[in-house]
Amino acid sequence: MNAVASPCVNVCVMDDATGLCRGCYRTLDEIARWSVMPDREKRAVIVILEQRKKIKMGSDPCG
Amino acid sequence: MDNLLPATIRVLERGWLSSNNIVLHDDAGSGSVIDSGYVSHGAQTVALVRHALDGRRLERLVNTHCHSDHIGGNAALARVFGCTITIPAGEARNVAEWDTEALHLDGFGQRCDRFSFHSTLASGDTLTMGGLHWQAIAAPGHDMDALVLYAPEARILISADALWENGFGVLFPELYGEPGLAATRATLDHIATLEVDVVIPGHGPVFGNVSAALERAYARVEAFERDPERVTRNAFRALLVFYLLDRQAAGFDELAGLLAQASFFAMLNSRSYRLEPGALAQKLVGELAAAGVLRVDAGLVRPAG
Repeated sequence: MNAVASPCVNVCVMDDATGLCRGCYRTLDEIARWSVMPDREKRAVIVILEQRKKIKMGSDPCG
Repeated sequence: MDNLLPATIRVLERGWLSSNNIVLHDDAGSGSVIDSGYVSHGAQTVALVRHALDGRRLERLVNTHCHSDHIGGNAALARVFGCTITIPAGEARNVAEWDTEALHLDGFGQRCDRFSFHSTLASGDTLTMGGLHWQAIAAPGHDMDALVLYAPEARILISADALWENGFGVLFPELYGEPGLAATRATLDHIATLEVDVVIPGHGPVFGNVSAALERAYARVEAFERDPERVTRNAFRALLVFYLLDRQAAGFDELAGLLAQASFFAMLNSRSYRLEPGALAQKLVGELAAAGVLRVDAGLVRPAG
């Protein structure tokens, strides 16, 4: 099984301000389409999630 | 992986606290959903289901079994969409009376919003959803009243927690003195007789290599048959991790309190480890941290990753 693992961390709450899940940083559409995304698209999403997380950490005064 | 399913079936792959939700387009204006995730994820479940309905009304919600991770969004979906709710026939009394012990809520440290159901489904019944005819098939094991749904025309199986790509759900009935392990084997035997090209499990990804998944499931059954204590250890670990996915963090005192006061944990402890709850909390957390499933920082236990 070389499939790309789901980035879900079981928080599953959409943040109204960012439009991203507070746990995994995906948009609603990315979560909804995960099960039909080809692996290369999933890998691309995983990379983007890292960037979104860094942006959130960078802008969060609490670190 | 290319999409193995017709466009009328939209699988919302969730995590472990929430079950997957399967949205089916019944016609241009209406749809159905199978299973609704955990109560604390209700808002996201509603949003995802609305997205997957693509403008349709949600007419009907069907549950494969009534564990908190599969029925938690029922009340919210019914409130928002006005859908009917159909549950397995064997759960009718428990849900009608909202028996929180029988529903594995209070005694397991789990939560769920109460809901009313409109109809029940029994093994042998058929349903039309997503333009396909589905047979409800009894799938006892993880839950003695559970159903799986099989569409022979499309060779699709909605397997709930009876069969995942890698394993199946905790064998609670076995721990209550019911023949859960034997039932699991019989359920796998029945699934093995069906012509299935695609499985939509209750957790984890949709998969196509059904025989490989069955092989892994049988190996797990055999391991439990050789060492029945493993069923108990698996139940403790899975339930503790589930509690922490729900709470997101807990101190050792809280976990010791859970192990002492939640009746299922207390019962299991008295029949197996027989440790003082604080010591049991330390032991279980230690094992799960070593396995990379939990982490501990500054005295707080959290899910890892």
